[in-house]
Amino acid sequence: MHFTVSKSVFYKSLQKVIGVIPTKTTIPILENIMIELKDNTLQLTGTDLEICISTELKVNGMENGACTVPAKSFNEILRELPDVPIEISLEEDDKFHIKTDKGLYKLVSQPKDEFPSIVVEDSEGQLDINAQILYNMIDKTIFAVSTDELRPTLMGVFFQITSDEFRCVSTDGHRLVKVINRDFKSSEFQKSVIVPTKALSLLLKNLDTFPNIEKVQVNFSIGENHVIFRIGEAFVYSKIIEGQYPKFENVIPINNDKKMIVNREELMSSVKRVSIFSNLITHQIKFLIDENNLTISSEDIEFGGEGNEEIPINYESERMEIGYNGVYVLDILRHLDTDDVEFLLKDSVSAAIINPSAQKQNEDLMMLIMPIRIKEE
Amino acid sequence: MSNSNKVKILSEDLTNKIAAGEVVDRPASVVKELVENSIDAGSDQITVVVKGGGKSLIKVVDNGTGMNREDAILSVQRHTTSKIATYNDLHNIHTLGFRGEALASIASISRMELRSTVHNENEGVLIKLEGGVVEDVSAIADVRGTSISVKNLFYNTPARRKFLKQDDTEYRYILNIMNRFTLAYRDIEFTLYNNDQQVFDLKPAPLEKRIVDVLGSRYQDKIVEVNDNHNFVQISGYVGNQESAKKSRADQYLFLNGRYIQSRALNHAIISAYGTILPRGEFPMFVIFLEIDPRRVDVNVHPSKMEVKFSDERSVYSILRGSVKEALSTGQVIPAFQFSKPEVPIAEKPRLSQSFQTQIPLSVFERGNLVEAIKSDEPVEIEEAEVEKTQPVKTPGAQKHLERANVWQVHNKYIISEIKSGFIIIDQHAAHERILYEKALHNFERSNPSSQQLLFPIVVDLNADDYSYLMEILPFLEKLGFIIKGFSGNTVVVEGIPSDVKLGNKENIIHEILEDYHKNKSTGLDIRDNVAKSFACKSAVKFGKKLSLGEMNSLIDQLFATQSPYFCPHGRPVIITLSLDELNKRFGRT
Ligand SMILES: Nc1ncnc2c1ncn2[C@@H]1O[C@H](COP(=O)(O)OP(=O)(O)OP(=O)(O)O)[C@@H](O)[C@H]1O
Ligand SMILES: [Mg+2]
Repeated sequence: MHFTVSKSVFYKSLQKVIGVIPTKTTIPILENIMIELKDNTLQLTGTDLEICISTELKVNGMENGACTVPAKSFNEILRELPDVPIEISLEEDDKFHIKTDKGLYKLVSQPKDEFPSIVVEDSEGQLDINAQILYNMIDKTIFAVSTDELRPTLMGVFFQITSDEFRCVSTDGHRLVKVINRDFKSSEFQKSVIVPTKALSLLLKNLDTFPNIEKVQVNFSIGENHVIFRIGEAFVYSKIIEGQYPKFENVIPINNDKKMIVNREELMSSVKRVSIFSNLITHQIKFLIDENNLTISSEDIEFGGEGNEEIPINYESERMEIGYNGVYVLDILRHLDTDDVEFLLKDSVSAAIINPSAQKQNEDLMMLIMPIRIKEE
Repeated sequence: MSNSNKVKILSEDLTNKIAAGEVVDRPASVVKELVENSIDAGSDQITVVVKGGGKSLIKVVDNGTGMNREDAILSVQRHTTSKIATYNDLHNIHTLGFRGEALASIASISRMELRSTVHNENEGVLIKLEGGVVEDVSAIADVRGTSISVKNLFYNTPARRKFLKQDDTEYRYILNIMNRFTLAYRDIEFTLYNNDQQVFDLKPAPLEKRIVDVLGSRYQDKIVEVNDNHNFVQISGYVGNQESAKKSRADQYLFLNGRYIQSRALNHAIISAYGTILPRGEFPMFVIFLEIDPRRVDVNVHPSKMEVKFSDERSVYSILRGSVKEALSTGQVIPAFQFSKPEVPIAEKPRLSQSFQTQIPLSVFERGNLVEAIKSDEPVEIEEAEVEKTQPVKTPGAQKHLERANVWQVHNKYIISEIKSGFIIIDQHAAHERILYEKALHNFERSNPSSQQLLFPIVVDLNADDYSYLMEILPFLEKLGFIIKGFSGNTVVVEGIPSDVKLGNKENIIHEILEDYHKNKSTGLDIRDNVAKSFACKSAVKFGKKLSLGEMNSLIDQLFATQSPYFCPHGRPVIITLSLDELNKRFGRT
């Protein structure tokens, strides 16, 4: 293997793959990245056995070949180099040479065939989706996934493909996000899968590197137990999370008839300030919702801090007092982007629905938060 | 020739005022009485020889004043003593003996030989007795002092002989008695032989050394000195640190005016000075001497002379507790934690020291339930908790959550944090358990639990047994923030969980709590304590879970805000401190 490439081009491509490399693994080869040259195309692949990411870049190829090298050291040396042309070659002694006008660096390589090869089973179906849309849908849901390893099905985003809707759902049992895209047709196949959070955040990173993401198409194919997101020659392969996703439709309330409209930025900064005084563990804040006035307060009984703010709202129903986890409220507000947001409420113990004041075209975004019941006796 | 006979017969009236009863019930009490006499006689060398657990032979040899012939003959009669003469003397006792009863009692149930020679006399006396009857009196040539041998104990009272335990058990009682003397009288050389073998030969030594000699090297460098003078009571001695605590009270010695005494109240004063740094079921070593004007105490309560009445027990209690406390904190047994970044005041620090410096809970007495408090054998934690509650540290707007950067997690199990004097290692699960446990107990008393409502209520199927247990503890679980509703049959639905607990394992938590509860129940644990323990254990972060820096800091903050950060509810340690001194020592830098 022998090629030359500019450092910046190589480094940028490496960033798309590097995230998958496990930091702690019992299988040392997984700490390596696979590099394969065919003519002028270089393929970089990394995997943690659950997820596999691969990307391609153009180089000046001189001699085809493949090997694997320790990803961390390779990444670090590239990062520290100025943007200069680099010449890379695999020598007889399996030493991986990185040559610049500054000097020569050698890494110990491992042969390609020691690297686990991902056997991709047949896909059951596939569809193309605009990268911008996909990005938004993942971005809006991924924050609400659970990190609780004892409920693995909640540790990913639930993708639902129906004939005319593409949905993403996430929940950790305390909040839930559902986003539906209707600019969509999939007559060929309908399917639902749970995709692990890590794969999706790597996919987002990958998509981040495209300057004109709205022009990029992602091919999403689903198999019996895997999904693949293909962006051109690059792909993110991931095992899916087995198991039944909870029946979330049943728990989304339909009769929350008390509507509060509030400025998102204003609410966000108030909650942020008041939360400073909330209990560190519960992050509990209290909404006192009254006619056109919202009082947000917190009190840390153990450490004695208190916070209190009032902001104007649009609300005409009866006075209500509801406790929330301030972090959850902020998370939700951060992932909405309209000026105003609307809270649909029922009572102080039931789920609240938080919606953007206006939905995007062909999109239906809904967030839900469970309150903290504050028992006053 | 000593013509001034000292031993006198007590008047009948006075005799009647002396707490009467069995003086001798086992070999150890013979040893006790004889050694007391030797001490009273001003000896500085006492040798004790026992055989067959003291049943076949007890011999005590001293180099004290000795007795002349008449005194010696009198001394073995009932109610003869040289130590008191009048009723008033009874209220001002400076000697260990005063009843004039011991020798007579011992003589009456054994074969006794008493040898005694007064200092500077060339002729001594030997008296042989059998069952208290003098068989023979003869002159001997001996060195100064007294030697009394007691053989065939209880030979004439077979019923009592039958009550004696095995030789080695009786020997252990004797050893125990000897410990009391050797700890209290460091100026006296004590030698003990058991079945012809020398057990010890303790040369006069300072108390610190005696403690190690007598109670073992486990106390080497593990004890702190107590020394306090108040106008009517002087307190001195040593107390062990928590590292040297034992599962038994074996090494607890309290002396009043040189006399070993037993006092639940004063023991409690000492134990409670430890606050909560000692887990339940662990007891500190202490060797404490109280010197009080004999007129203010009454030892004439019980024939064993081990019980004492104080004219002002309450003051003695509080002074003793205060002195021990002070010793513990200056001795850094109650560590004053200071994290090594002191620029930002740490909220828990004042709380911590506040709780330790809390004034002695005199309220215990005022409410007249000292007895109760002492009966429970527990440190008076409640009092301190109340003080805590009524004086919460109000630091409005203060940065309660100090971001310590120098905090690390190792193996996802332990948290290491730098403190001023070295570093501490915290067991993350045990720490969280302690936090949740105390919070649970606290929540039982309050009535506003907050529950995170669940989007997907958890359906829990129980068997009939578990269901009945659940009903039993339901009110407590609700106080913790669980919202549990009946469903059908033995099935319940969990709709809300305590908002301050990140329950990873929501599905199983109820099952696990019930299982733990069930297990603890058989140990007779109080229901609150039991629920709190089970809940804390099952909800605490797992050993092996990765924690963020924020989580670790918050855990440390909360831990130090607890009443008893050093031990988890099961009594295992939560914190290990490694001081720089210790590190320096290990690296040979001293
Ligand atoms: N080892 C000894 N050396 C010198 N005198 C002794 C010795 N043992 C006993 N005596 C004398 O004998 C007396 C009687 O001793 P005895 O132990 O019977 O009574 P006590 O010590 O006065 O009171 P108690 O019954 O409380 O021990 C003592 O008062 C003391 O004068
Ligand atoms: Mg005596």
